Amino acid sequence: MGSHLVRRYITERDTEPDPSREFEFDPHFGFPERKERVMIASQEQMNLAQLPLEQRDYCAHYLLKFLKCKRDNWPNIFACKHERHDWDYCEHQDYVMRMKEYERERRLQLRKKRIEAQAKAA
Amino acid sequence: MAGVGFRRWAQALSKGRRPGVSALLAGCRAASGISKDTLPGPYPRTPEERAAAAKKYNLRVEDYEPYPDDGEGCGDYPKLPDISQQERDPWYQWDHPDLRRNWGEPMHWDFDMFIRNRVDTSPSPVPWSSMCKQLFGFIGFMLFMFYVGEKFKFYLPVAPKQYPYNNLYLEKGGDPEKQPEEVKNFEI
Amino acid sequence: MKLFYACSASTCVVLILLLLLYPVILSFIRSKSPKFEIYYHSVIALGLSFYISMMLLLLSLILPINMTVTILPWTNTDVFDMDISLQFDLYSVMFMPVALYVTWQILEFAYTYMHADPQINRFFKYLLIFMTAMIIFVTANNLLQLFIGWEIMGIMSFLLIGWWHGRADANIAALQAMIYNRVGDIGLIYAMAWFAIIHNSWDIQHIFQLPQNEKINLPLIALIIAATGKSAQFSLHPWLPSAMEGPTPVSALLHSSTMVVAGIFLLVRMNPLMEFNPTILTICLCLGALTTFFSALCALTQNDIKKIVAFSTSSQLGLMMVAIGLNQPDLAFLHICTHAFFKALLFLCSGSFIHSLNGEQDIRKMGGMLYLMPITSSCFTLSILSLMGVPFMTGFFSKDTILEAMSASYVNIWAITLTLMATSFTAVYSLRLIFFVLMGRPRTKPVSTMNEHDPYAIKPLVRLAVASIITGCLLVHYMVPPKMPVITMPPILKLAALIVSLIGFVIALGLAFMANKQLKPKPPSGPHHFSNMLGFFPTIIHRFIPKIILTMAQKIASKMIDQTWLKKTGPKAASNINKPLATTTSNVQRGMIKPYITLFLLTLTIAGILVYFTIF
Repeated sequence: MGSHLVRRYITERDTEPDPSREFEFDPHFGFPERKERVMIASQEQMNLAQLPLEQRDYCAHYLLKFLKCKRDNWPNIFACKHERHDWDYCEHQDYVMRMKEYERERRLQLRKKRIEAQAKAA
Repeated sequence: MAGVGFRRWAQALSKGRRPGVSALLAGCRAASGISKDTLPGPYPRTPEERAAAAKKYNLRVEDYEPYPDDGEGCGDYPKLPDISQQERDPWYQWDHPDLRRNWGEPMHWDFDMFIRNRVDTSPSPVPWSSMCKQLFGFIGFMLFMFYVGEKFKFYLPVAPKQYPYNNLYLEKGGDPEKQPEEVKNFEI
Repeated sequence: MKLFYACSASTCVVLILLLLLYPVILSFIRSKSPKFEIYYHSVIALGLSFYISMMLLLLSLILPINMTVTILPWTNTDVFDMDISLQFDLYSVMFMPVALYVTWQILEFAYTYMHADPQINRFFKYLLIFMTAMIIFVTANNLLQLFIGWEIMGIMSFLLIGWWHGRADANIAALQAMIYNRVGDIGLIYAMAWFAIIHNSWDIQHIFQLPQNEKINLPLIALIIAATGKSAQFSLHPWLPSAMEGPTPVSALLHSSTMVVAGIFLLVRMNPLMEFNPTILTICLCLGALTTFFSALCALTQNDIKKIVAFSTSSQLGLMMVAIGLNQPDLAFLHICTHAFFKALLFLCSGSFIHSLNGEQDIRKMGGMLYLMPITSSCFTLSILSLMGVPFMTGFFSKDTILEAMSASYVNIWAITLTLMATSFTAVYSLRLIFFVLMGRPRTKPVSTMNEHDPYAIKPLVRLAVASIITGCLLVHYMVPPKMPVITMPPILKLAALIVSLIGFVIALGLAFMANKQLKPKPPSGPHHFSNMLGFFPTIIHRFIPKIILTMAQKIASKMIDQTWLKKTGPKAASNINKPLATTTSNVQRGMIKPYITLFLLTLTIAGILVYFTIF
């Protein structure tokens, strides 16, 4: 759990990525073809629903459905478990993608360092 | 009408059933300082003068010690130890329990500083200097550690969150006239 | 539909305010009212207001939740408009029923607790005025309205802490609360002045829409100072434990569940200003972490039951501040709401114990209450479990979420360490409370006759106990999910809060079993003194600063300036200048012929010279 922190601050200080900085590699690097993420909820819909900025991510359409369901099931506050789960699952997928992006960045950084070291040695 | 009303009010104030106000009026002092008979007398030089001054302030001669005669005008006023009222015995039957003071007891020159809700001088189990060292050491250590913590952040190994619509350019208050920098996010 | 909601919502608030003020006004009209008249009126008023606010809460489920209603213009000048306007968002709509419910229960409890007090009518009147101020504060959409509520709360806090003003300690505590709160008020006034001068508006919605730049740091720091004063964050915290000099219902209402959270509430309200400002958020985070750790540390070695609970309040307030620093105002707000229930319950149970033990507050002299007062003890245990964040109690839903959100964000490593340590300390002092108060054999004087026959004393406890079991779940389901729900994390982080609590609990249990053995007594160690004397903070600050100020006042202001220099340059200088003149003049006019002839000759000579020069 804390291994990335150990790498970041002690062992691999130059290659471990820092999430507060921009990642430097081209998103297409190493992929033949990469699918772009699709945003389903439109800006207007999100504006009308008064979503906070943090929630206007790629899962916003699930959140909108969830909120609508909550409104329709008034006053049963325990309703809409399915909608909530859909949204949570989407957020989970999003999170997993972020984890993968981090790992990709880390490995690319390692690779870059390795190549540079080989070039220097040669 | 107003004059009559005011006179009545003044009369009621001066002689009415309110002893507090009349006592207050009689007891208030002139703005220019204390009156001559309440001022301390001249600095006592002979033992007889000292004894007389001690008697005046209801003190024993052994306890009586005037302020040094350095021209500050304290005269024969006794120099009492700097002890707050809070430090006095709470279980003793004081004449005035709230101030912990007996009737006729001499007052400290800075009495208003040592009343119970101001400065407290009662002894503490830890000496003053080590209390200061520990408290300021604690605060300093915390500030230092927060500084270190700012340098070394805790986070989970994830990339920053991706947002649609050019990273919410418009929503974050970008200028709609200008073309924003295009941000594309991809699945992985 | 929107119009309907706006009308009904503002009607609800106005109705609540009128209901709460009705007993107060009634007592002004009637000069003499029977002893418990105000109590009956106020319980009815609070109950009705609670149901009205519940209606509002349910209504807000189906409608857009952010809404401002302007009731009437207040002052309109060319450059500065001010309206009486109310805000109905999640925070105000949800906080009202919580606060009203807690107040209702506490008021019922106060009926038994304060039964013998001769001024009981005035006591309930103060509580109602306080509640009115709280409602004004939470619904304010205008900094001035907010400030009015804020100040009335401060004054009522002062009056209620000093309720037994015959005792010097109560007076000192009330003064402390007043002075520390004034420091916070300076912050709020500064921020208001800044917004009025720079942004030319006190309307909160309007302030949010203005362009934000670096300069806004200044009023935000002022707001943090305001919150520090009101919510007893580190450096302005000593007034909160001292405030326990007041009656226990007051501690339960003002100093745990409602008034002290006003500072946090202010920051929650103002969160849109600090949302993108990392400096301010870091300050909040560090301040909160330090507060929660320091207060928990102080709570470890206290022996006064109310002091322990007060420090745990301070610690929880620090946790709310941490949530603000994490940019999660919703979580801070959720913790405000859940905390209100279980902390009020904790205080009421302690009050019940104290009342039954004839005013004994020292936990070392309690013990065995489990057998003597079973219902109260069960409620006490429930509230402590909730405080520790035992799963599926009320406290769990907010406390655990804050800690999870903390471990999932990009955060100061020391802040997270301190917060987790404070969490385990919570378990330690909670167990200590249970161990000393409930378990073992009674160590009380044998005179007291305890019973739980009075329904007025038990019902509020039971109702609050039920609330501190279920409300967390209800509130979480009611609330729209907070900004960024944290769903994915490694199991160890998910369980971190529980693990540290458990570790604390086990350590405390070990210590408790040590207490049963006969060990050689040792003199208290340095850290014990540090914790027991509240980190030496009150001792040093309350002695040093007044001493400096009063000595300076005495020596410089009074002795040097007033009595020496002003006297010398004013009255004495005037007399010293006039004296030689007067002496000379009067010396001349003593009726002797020689001076007169001299003067006559002198005048004649001068006149002659003048005439000579004018003619020739």
